[in-house]
Amino acid sequence: MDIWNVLLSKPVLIGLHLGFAIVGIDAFLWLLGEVVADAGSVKRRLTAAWLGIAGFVLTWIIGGYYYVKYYGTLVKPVIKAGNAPWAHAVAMEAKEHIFLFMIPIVITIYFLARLNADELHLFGLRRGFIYLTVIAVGLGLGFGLMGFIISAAARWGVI
Amino acid sequence: MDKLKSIYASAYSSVVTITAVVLITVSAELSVPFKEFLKSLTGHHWVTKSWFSLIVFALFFAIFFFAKKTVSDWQTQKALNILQLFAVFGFLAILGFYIYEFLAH
Repeated sequence: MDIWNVLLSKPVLIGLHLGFAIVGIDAFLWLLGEVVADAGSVKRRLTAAWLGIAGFVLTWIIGGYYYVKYYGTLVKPVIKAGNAPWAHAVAMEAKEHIFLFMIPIVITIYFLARLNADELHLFGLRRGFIYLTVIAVGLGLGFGLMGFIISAAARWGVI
Repeated sequence: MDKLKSIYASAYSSVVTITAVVLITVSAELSVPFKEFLKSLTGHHWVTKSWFSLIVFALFFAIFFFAKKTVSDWQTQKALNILQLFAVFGFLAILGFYIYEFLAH
């Protein structure tokens, strides 16, 4: 079995999807801490923002590949036939579509991260920066909750 | 200042993208032919929507960035506030739509 077969296997894809989502959420929590603390290092903010963007882009690509290749044929029918069909109809449908505006939001956060602490105060953008980052983290955690619901419905929905 | 203009353009482009994603999502659920059309473009309706969201964001970022020579700090604050509202409303609109669809059928 070569490395691609391992990476493209279903449990590894789900693990990578979740892992990179956690990287994205944690990176934006780190960025949030930097801004709330008025920390002076723009380099650290940009590192956190780039890490967060990379995490969310990778979770999008990997989760998308799994969704298109396996979810519709293998997982969706199990959930729909189980005792929590809403897990697909509400959680999965909402998650896959709401995620589409995550990338524009985190790119906007990256542009905000280019400003240093003094510029954020001078332009009155610190509060907006904090609120938008909280929204991005909240969305990420919301996707995590939806993902848990979907997985639980697929695993235990028929027992 | 280019830093402010980038934030301004990205925020308004995100607002347009969120609105477009909500509209295309609801439209595709309400119209089977439209969903089939989206599927025919890439093989999967969600992949088409993904490319669509990226293209809309990039296009409108360029439009908002080059439409103004400069933006003020107040205009940038306003753009960020509007984006926060649209992010929350976009989340509620899509989640609410699918809850309604599930309960109605």
